[in-house]
Amino acid sequence: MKNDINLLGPHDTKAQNSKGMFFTVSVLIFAFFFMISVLILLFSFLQKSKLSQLNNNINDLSAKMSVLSSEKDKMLTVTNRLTTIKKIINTRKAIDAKMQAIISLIPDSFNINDFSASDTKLGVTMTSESLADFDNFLENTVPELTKNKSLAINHIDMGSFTSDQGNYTLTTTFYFTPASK
Amino acid sequence: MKELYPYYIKYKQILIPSSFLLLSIFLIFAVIMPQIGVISETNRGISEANEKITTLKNSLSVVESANPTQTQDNLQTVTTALPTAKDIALIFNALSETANKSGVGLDEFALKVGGIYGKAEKVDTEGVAGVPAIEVDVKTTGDAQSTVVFSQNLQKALPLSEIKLIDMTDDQAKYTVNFFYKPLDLSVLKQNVVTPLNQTDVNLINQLRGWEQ
Repeated sequence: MKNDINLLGPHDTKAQNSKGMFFTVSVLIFAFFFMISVLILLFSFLQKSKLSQLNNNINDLSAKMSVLSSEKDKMLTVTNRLTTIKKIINTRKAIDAKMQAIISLIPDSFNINDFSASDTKLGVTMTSESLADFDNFLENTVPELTKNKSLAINHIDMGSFTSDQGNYTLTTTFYFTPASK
Repeated sequence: MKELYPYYIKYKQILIPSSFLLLSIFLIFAVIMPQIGVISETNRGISEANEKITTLKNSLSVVESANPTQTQDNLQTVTTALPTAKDIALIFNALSETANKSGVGLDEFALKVGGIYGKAEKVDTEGVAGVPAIEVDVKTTGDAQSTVVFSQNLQKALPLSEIKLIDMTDDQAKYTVNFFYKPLDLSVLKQNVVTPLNQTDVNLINQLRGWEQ
């Protein structure tokens, strides 16, 4: 009996080896992804338990806060109202300041008969017996007022100038540049 | 089944490795990829929770360290400056005290109160910064100088107001004044972020207290 007779040709051995290699590689690939899956599931579980612990902390702190809710509400109300108050004070139209600036510069020798003021204009009607007072007002006071940038005078309109039984009456309107909000 | 057996015999050596590969693909799509999404979402949740805890701890420390009497006084001052409703008594007090201080006679005042309960279709008068206001017509007697002083003092009186129009003829002055108010905003109370008052806020409260007297 011949022992050295090999019925499998070299071609069949190669095929057998490549099948073995394919098996090994596939097992390794599966093992790799299996390990990754296990690790990722473990990590995910740990993260979720950490989140749950943090949520418990939030609940504990919220419970402590709710005990002090009355104080907290007062403080929140104060802060919220102060924000609105700041807005009001910073943006409300200060027509009193403009009026004060203009009327304080009108000499005492004038009698202010009437005036009307809004955020865009201030009209004044004033009377004096002295014509020189009007000269002084028009030549000195009015230019001084126009130099005051805070008044933002856009233009000045001399409405009328009349004389009646020794009294002179001047009607003037100051127009202001509207403040942008 | 018998028909499939020869195929099984023929391909059995690649059947098991192929199954491993298919299982690997299954693990990628059914476990790994969804878990990456879950982990990223959980991380976001952890970071948000940490922020919330820090905010809550800070707020708690602010509330615990606050002086209740001081807080009550501050609340009193800000609600006098900006009442929660159309408070006619406060407006009347402000006008009469300002008139006394300024040396003018308060002849009369008229106000359109409007709705006092329920959701209004339209805010009565919208003042500065969208804050609702109640419009009041005031008549006083006094010379030009005291009229100016009255308007200046009114700007420093509480509740806060804005003079819209002044019209003076023969010592009779007419004012159109907006008095501000602000209803309580319940959404503000739902917040948990409490910050201590800064120096600007403290200065403002002191300024308002000065105006209150």
